[in-house]
Amino acid sequence: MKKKPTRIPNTIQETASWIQDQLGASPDIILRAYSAEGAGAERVVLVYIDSLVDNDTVNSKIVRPIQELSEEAFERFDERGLYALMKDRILGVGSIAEIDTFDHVIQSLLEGNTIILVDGYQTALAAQTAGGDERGVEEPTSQTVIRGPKEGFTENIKTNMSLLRRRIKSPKLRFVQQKIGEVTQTSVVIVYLDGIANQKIVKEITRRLSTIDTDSILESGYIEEFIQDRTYTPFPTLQNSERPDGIAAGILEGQIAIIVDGTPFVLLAPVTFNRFFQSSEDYYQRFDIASFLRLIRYGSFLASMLLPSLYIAITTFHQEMIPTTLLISLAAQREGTPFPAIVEAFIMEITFEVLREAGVRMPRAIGSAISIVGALVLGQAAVQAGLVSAAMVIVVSFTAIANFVIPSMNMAAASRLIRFGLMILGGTFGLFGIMSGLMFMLIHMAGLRSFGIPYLLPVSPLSINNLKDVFIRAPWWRMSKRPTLVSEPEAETRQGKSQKPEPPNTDPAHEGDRG
Amino acid sequence: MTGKMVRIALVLALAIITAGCWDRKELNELAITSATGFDVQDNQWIISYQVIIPSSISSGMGGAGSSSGHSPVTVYSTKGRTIREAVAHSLLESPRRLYFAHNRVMVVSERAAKKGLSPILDVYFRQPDSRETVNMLVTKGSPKRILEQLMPSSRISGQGIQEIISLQSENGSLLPAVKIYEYGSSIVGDARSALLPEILVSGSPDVTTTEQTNKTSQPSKLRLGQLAIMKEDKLVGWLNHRESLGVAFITNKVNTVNIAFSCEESGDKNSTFELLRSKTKVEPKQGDGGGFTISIAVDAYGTLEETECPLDLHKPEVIAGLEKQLAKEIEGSIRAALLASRRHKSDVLGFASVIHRKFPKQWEAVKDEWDDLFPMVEMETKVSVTIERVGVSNKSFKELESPEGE
Repeated sequence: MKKKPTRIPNTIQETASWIQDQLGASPDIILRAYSAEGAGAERVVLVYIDSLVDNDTVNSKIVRPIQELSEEAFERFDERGLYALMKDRILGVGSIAEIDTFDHVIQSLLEGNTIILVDGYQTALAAQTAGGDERGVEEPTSQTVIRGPKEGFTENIKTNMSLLRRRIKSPKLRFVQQKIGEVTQTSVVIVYLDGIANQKIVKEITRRLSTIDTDSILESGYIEEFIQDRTYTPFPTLQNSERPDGIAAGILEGQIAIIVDGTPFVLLAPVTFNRFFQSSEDYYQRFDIASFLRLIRYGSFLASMLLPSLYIAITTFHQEMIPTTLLISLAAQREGTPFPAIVEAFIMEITFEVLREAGVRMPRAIGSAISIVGALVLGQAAVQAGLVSAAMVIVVSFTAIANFVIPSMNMAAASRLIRFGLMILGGTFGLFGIMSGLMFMLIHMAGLRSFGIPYLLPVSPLSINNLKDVFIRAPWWRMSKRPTLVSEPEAETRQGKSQKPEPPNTDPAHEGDRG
Repeated sequence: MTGKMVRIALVLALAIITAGCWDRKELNELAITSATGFDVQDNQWIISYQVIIPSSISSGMGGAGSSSGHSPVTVYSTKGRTIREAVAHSLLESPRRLYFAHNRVMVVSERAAKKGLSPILDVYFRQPDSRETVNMLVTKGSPKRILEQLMPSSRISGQGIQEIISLQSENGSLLPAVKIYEYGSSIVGDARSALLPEILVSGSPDVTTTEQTNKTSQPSKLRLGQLAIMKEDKLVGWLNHRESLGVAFITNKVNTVNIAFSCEESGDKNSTFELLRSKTKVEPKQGDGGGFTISIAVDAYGTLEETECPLDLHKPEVIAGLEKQLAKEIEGSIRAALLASRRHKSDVLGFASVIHRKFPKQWEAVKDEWDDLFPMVEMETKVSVTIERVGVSNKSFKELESPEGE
């Protein structure tokens, strides 16, 4: 086999055969040659991959103009003239690139571009015709809201970029693209607002992305694991979201988004612990209910992490803490159960995790069957059969429901994992064990960083100004500052002060009534 | 890095296995005690326990057996030379470990009270699982007998006894609810005296089966009796209700109480006053001869609840007359309390600490002979009663009945 050329070969026959050689004889590779009438010599060749291009564009903007080219044009122009004609007059496509290496030709083809080769000319034209079937913009399935935009990101990076552009119409919005993945050549785009995002963090993210050396990136999860600050921690240090409004809000606060081609999940960094408890709906609803719901979420996080372990610890070590009447009824329920409380809790927790996983993996059509089996067989029957006590079923189900309240799935997963550790500690050392576990966790969290930003930021180190959007959400006009450290220090002010709305001093309807 | 992590994980796992679980006790290994009884016989402690049977009380699912028909509690006694020895002997007969953290009441026999309660207090203050907030009661009979008596309204009678005594002390003020720590602190106080309410079974035969509690009326029931005077940790005598109300007034422990009185200078008690608030000021004075006089000023407020007298309650002088009658009634019970405590030579009125606080130096001189001095302490009382309301009717019904009425 001959050596692969670096430059585009001189004759189009050779180039065409090289392209076919490189890509294999796939049926979706279209090679179309044009020659002057009568004369056998092919002057122009179009190459594109059928499955990657938008056929309408190719047919109407490229194929037809070339076909309508008059006979004398073919004869009159030499290769240089023909090339210029193609570039300037014939091709009805906005984005055209001139490429002169063979590798670029292949690359460009795989991105869905159409390559136009002119015989005898060593530069090719790449017209952007990427398209093809893909999912439209739909409502995000993982983060639903009642009030707020219903658009979600899609698998197409162009669509995702446009969703963000449309939300932030600022010249300072920057998209920086790079290709990651030796084989997949996945486009990864960093999005930030110049002058608002902290420049040091932008640099750090770019640096970490450029050090990734892998063959494939299929989802933003790959990127997350390559660039996160700490791997051995249950807590996520990057946020992900399907919602353009949430990502746009993050960008406006100085965060940096990472869009990965092929997935609707966009990453957001740097993050602090409290961000995982914010839902984009918090900002669309009135601030009072938003604050209340946020407190409920923090409570649910604690419940989902602690409830089974507290139940185990209190019923096996600290019975004196339970009100007498409750103790008697708990004791009565335990009367017939065969296992110690911790074993019982583990059985129920594992059962629930199995049910939950089954619910995610199985086909939609069988969903109702699983819920019946889960609720009836495992809930009621297990209690009636005396395998587990009713109180334990209540504890485990509340824990499970509390877990779904946490808006961010990866933080919910963290509390799920920590729960098991705390259950073992609670079952062996009682409340003492749980407290030491929580201490350990807190120390670990205080040491975590997300791209240099302390994980517990507005709380530790304390920043009183930023507490307006942590445990409660203050009314919009009160939050005049962006989060410190995350945004550039000089761009901290977000909006004007004293914008509290008030009716005018005089009531126009009863003007003159007041003395 | 990973090697270090594995080693740390191993050490942690080892710590959990070796150091954990030593005091773990499942709920179904516990004998939850709701009441305990202390008795003494031939120098041996007889401790009785009222142990809750959870499955017969809770009607919840999962428990073996349902609620009705089964006795909610079981009572048994053990003997030993010391209290904890007796408790340890319970392991000879019971499949479960006794658990005292939910114990509500402690019933002491008169015999044990006469011998002294300090061993019980020592055990309670020393043991982490027994609470100092347990209510103490004395019985003239056998404590076990009290624990065996069932109550129809409260399935766990230990809990029921506790509710009776706290309800009484909050709304009746005739008998105080005395918790172990309160008893302990008053017995080591200056007066070295304390009071304990009495509990008894009135009537016979005993109600000890659930079939008996199914009847609408029980032949016998638990009720509170008198007030025991404990002096230097030993029972020395009893106070009746009138005397114990007097003690409550002097020690400023009156909450709400209904007082029956006569609306005239003499005659039957035909009216009731509900005292809602009362405040007592105790002020000691030292006379020239060195003897002490205690002046007691009671300020009481409340409502007229009932009267049979044909009085015009619109007139302030009529109300003032009633107030005077009431003050006389309260003064009488205060006086009775003083006489009773003099009789028993026991300073249950708390005069010792009042004098100690006001005259610390003089107290040092007299504290050793306080027992002899106390009966000679004089008392001045000044009771002021204010009838704030007379209810929604301002004439007695008797007046309406009479022909002159409208």
